[in-house]
Amino acid sequence: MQKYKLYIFFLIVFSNTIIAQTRKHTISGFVKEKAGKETLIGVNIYLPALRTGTISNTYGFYSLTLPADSYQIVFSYVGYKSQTYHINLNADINLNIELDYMTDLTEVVITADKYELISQTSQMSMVEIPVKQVKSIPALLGEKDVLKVIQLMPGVQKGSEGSSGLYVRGGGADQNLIILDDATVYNAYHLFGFFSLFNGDAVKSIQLTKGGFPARYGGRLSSVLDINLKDGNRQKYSGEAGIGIVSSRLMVEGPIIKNKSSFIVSGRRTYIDALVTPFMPEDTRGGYYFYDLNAKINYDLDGNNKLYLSGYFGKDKFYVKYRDYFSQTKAGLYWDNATTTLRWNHLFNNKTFSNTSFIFSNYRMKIFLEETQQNTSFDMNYMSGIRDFALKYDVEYHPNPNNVIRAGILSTFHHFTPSAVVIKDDYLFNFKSEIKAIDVLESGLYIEDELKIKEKFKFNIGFRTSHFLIKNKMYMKPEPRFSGSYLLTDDMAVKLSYALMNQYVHLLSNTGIGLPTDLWVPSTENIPPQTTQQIAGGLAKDIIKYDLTVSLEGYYKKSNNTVGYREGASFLLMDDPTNAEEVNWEENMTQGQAWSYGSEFLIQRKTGKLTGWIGYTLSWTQLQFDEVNNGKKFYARYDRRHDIAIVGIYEINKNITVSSTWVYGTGNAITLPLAEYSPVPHDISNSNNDQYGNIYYGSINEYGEKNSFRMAPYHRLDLGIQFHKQFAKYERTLEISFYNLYNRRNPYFYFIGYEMYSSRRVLKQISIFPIIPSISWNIKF
Amino acid sequence: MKNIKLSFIIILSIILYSCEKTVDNVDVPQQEPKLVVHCYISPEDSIINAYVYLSVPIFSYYDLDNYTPVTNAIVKISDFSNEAQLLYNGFDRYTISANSFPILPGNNYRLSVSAPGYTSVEGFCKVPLYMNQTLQLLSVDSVKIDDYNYEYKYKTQFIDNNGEGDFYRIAGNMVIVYTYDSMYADTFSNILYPKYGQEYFSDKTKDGEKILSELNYYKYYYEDKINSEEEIISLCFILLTTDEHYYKFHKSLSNYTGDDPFSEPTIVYSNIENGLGVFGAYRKYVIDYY
Repeated sequence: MQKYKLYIFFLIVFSNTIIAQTRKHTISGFVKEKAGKETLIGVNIYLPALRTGTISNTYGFYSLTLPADSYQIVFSYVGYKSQTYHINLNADINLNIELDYMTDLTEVVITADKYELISQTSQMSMVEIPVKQVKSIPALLGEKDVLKVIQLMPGVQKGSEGSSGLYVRGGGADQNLIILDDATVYNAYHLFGFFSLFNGDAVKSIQLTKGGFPARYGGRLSSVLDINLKDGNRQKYSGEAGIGIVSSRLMVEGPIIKNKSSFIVSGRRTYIDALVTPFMPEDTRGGYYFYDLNAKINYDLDGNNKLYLSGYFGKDKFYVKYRDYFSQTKAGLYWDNATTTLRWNHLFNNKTFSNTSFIFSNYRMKIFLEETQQNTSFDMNYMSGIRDFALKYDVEYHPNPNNVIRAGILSTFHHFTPSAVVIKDDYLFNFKSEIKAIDVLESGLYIEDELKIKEKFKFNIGFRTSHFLIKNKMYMKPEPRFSGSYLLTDDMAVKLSYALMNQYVHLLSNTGIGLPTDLWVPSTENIPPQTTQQIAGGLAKDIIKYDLTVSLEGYYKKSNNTVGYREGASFLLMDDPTNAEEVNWEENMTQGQAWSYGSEFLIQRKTGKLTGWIGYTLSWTQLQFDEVNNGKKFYARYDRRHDIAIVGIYEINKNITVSSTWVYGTGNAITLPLAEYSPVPHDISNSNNDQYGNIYYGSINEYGEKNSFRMAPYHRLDLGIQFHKQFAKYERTLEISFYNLYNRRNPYFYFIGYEMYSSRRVLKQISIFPIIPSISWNIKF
Repeated sequence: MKNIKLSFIIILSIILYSCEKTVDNVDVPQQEPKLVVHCYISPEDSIINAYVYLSVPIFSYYDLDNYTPVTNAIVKISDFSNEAQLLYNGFDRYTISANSFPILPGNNYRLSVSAPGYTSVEGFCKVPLYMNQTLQLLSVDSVKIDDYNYEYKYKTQFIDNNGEGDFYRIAGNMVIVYTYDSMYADTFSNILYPKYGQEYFSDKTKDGEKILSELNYYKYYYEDKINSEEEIISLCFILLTTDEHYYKFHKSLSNYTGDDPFSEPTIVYSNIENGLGVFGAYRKYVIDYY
């Protein structure tokens, strides 16, 4: 009897739960752009009555599970017209939305769209730049560069003039996870760092996270730059083309099967070498070129399954050929990147979204030298590279509007070739082939929950475990992540975050300039992974009346096992590769600590006639290695006390846009020579009995404390004017821009030289970019 | 290989020449000249030599006179119970014979140098107690470069003493006599150079292990002496067991990259307090062939 009572009791409770559950329904679907059907990322879906909602994910999918009732749902997104729907939720509904782009600027209605407010998300330390702004901001030589625009954001610095390298919150240029459609990009630069790989034509969204990293990201310490490519217009063929001073570009997109499948192809190439080479002397020729190509195809198998295949291919080559009576020499340096991703979106049900990615990424750098003399030849190839095969699986579960649970795994097989030397020397009857390869497996497993409590508290709590396996050594490290916000008022929130990051792959660079001779190497049993813990806190406010967002953040980062070089470390990359067997990069590396802290202020406007932002960063970055600078703390080369950027884009009317950028930064910290002296090494051959023997060595420098000297501050003003004209079949934009408008001679590096007509030595500087005007012509069809 | 870097630098320099300017908007550090002292002591030497120069501040007038030795310095060596003064030999250095001040293994020494108008300096070192005598010649190879030129490869080996903290240097010397026309003879004393990375050793990762070093000698044809005959009249290999200061100084000097704008400046080691240079000690072991 008792048993039956118990049984009935459980049955009632159980069925109540089921009944309670059957009273909930799910509304889900995909959000796309009306023209072209491009999926939209981060669209706000808000229920005013419940004061809660969700956002569309990377693939445009959203899902809300609510009790059966009628609701008003608002779909809104920066730059697009919002749409409101009234829904009677008494069964599961599949609602796919298409939003209209707001092209009409004469009547800009600033609606109180509090739904995409910065104060409403728990995510902090993240900046998003609309791609349209990237295209409007004046750039060096007219080359629109995603990474250079990111450098204008607070907390992000460039390394040196013209370089696209990112130094985020005091972290080095190798501490950024740069993802292009899920594939990791290793060397994101063209022309020794002056331009980045990312062609703005094919990019859909750019998001940079500097702190408070959600658990789904791992592998790098300082930032995540997530770049998604456009899928391709599903309705009609369209494209863009442009000719600039440095390169020309073409982008074409269109449907393969209307509304079901589309493609996009975008390429860019420099052409200066093709123009200049014919004018070079017969016996000495040289040149440089780069190209890049983005291609993507997508296909909807059915409502629940979609496939995407995207690829990137790019190459830089610098070459020199000379010939004299006796010999002929060809030499050069090239590097290339290739990435391919195959992705499969699968909807298990209207609450559960999953994505599986198969990823391939290859980076290779090669220096070659071929010398032919009469009948003999000397051939040398030096290669360095990294090849990845990765599998990524992510699941997203939306049980109710207050929770989004994500979990997944990413496993990457890395094949490192830090150095591979092949020498064929007829003269010395020598053939040498030294290829060192290292295979490692790097994985990450994560789970995170984005939750809301009582509409004022929002959190993202996550946990990631990272794992690394090399030959005879395994590392497994936990990475807790937390970010939270509390809504003080309707438009202001206070935020706090903590993240622990590990990095298993390191970039060795002994120049700091970002030359392609930088090596990617893995952690080994002698070199443990680098670790960083970061806490950040701040305030975020939306000034809705003027469409402004304001944020003020402070951060503190402590890193351990930071990678650096022994003093005098040489990788023999450019000195004497014939002795390649002496190179052991592990012995040249040393590990230490880093501290980085500061505060960032940003005021930003994303829509309207006048858009742009003002950013200010005050920061300190210090390093300490036992084997460098006698173990004393020193400032990092790129430590920048003050960093200011003011960016403004003003649309005078439909046809003319004016934009301007002003940047200011404290100078780099460098080591300056103080005095010269002659060293006297020990003369072994002299038996010490000869009173008059000596070895003359030459003079060497005595240096001051490492990085104790500040270069002059850097500042410059850029100005650009765009003239748009709409024709029947296409739109034409002519852009005239000036880089460094007031011609400031910013120092690129210092050296010791002589004053004119005198033997007094002084400090001299080389600056590379004076005022540079440029013109480019673009069409959009 | 150097050609690529050179071409790049040349092209860059031509482009950048017009963008060169004297810096006037930052304060440049000023520095006083310092005493630069180099001295290496060993129980196996018959003379102790100390070289004393001055450093020349960078942002000053380049003056060759500043590169001559300091002649009026007072140079003293002490083993903390006795002290002796080294005297200027009138040419380029300060000397004292080992008879007047013997250097003993395992002892600590201090070298102090002062000169009017400059800050006094001093350095400390300890002579290694143990002298490694395990050096041996493994093989001799001669590689023909062409009809007249040869390269001799001497492979040597020694075994590190157990226990951390040993430093070594390998060298070799060869004396060759060329006789030609059956009458004339030229004598050449040639230093044998170890391959890159095989001259200075630390036992940090090789404690107790065999250490190999290959030394090379290039013999070039004596063009105008067709019927010459050569005879190696002496060949010796030298293994120095040195202290840490000797090792760090020479190693950092061999890694010195100078004014290369593409790499971080390398600092040459010094254990001279308030000055520059090095005061190091070593034991010398020589094996003779012939």
